Amino acid sequence: MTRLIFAAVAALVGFVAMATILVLGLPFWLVGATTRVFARLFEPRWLPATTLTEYAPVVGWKPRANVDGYHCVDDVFHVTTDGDGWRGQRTIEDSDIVVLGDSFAWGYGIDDDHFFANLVPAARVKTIGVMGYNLAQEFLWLERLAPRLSGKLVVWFIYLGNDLIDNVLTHKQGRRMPFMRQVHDTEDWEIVTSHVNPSRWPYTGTYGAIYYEALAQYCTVGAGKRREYAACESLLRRGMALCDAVGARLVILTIPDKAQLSRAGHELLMRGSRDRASFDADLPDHAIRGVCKRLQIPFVAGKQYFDVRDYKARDVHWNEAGHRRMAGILSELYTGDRAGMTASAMSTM
Amino acid sequence: MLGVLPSPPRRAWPRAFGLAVGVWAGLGVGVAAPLDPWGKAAAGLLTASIAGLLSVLRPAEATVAYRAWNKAARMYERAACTAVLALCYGVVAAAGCAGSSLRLQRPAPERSLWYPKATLSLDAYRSQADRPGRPSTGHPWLEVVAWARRSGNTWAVVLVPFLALIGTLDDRERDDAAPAGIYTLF
Repeated sequence: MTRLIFAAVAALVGFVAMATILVLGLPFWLVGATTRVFARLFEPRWLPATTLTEYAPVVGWKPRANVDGYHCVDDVFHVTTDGDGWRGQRTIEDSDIVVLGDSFAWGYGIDDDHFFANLVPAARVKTIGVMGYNLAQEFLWLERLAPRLSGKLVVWFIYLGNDLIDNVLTHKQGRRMPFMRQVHDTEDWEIVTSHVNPSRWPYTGTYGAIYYEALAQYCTVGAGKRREYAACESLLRRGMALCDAVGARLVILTIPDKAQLSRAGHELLMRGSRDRASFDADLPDHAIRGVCKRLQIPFVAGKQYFDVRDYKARDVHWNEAGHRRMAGILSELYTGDRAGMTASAMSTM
Repeated sequence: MLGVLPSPPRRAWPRAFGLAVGVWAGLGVGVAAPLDPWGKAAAGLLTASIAGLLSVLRPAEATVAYRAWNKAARMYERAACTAVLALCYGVVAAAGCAGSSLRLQRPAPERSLWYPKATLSLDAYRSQADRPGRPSTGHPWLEVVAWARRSGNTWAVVLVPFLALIGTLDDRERDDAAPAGIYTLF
């Protein structure tokens, strides 16, 4: 009982002191609470991630059609998709350039107004991009859409952050996806889709944990030849054959991960590496350039153009500056294509 | 805590902040201005409008002000948290002045300091956190009150308001980095 009385008296004194502290904080709380109320009024309601894609047989998932709403990454952005789920309202037939890719091609994190496809002055651009896709999924769409690509410039993005490794993985965050498998005892590769269904692929582990590990190995000479490049070559060969067959012109454009573009990023990739001396952030581009050279496909290394400031600070995707940069690259490519620039000339871009 | 705002701010937030500051500054001016009621209302409205307009027309400056305000709010919350924690220790120290319930002096000859304790049921060893026989009272602070009464530490109940305030002020576990539900596939 004595203890309770002592504590109660001390607490009473404490409450008086606490009241002073609370009064001092009142302006912060009032302004903070009011700001939240106004922010809720000004900021449009945004759609959760699950509403942007849906399950699709064979390819695993596809973008939802006729979306006209908002989503949030580092900020809220406005997004519209057409009747097929592709970003923007322009049709494939009505375009000069068709861009094939993953979330970079979809324009993840950017408003329609700042989306690179809407910023190319000389050409009409349609993007066939889906968040989280690997090159095998993109190829399957290329195969489906090939008859509509006649006479067009097809620019195929390869995001170096995860596209190469994703080609040989069975799922993404438990979503089953087509992948590349080497045909037994041959140099051939096949696209496996038989496991694709709406059920979750059982897995444990953290999504994305292996991406930087894989990218670090791509950037290290000592890591040796990676089978991911062979899988990639197989897909690009098929893509080239498809485009040739319908009279479309294919260009490969690599998108660097922002970790490849700064000293701090290099350090991030090299942590835990035993072969720091041979680290070279250009190695993935050299390898893909070699593949494209063998296949006679024009190749453009995005790393020559992009700067770390073209990327969002808290996300792997481009900011507005990055989209402007990509629009510039596409504009140059289109101009070169119209001028009849050869594959080797484009490769020096 | 309500005082600290998301950082870095999304586009809408500096504008909302400017308007919020405008509203409160307008109220302040309206109350403090030595004018008749209509004059007070006009002065308040004018102040609020200017602040609101500035935040809309000069978003860069509004963002700078937002960041500065947020920094101050964060500093206040850290300082307030430390001060309330010190008050909390003060209460514990005061309770300690009433003496200890533990028998700390040397025992008299032939007397033992061993206490007989009943055994626990086998269920108690499965999980210490959710063992049977500990009905939850719902709110964590009610749990603290229930524990204080149950364990004979009724004095500890007076700590609850302090601990609740620390819980509100402490931002170490707060994560403004990204809202939930964003797309993580890339």
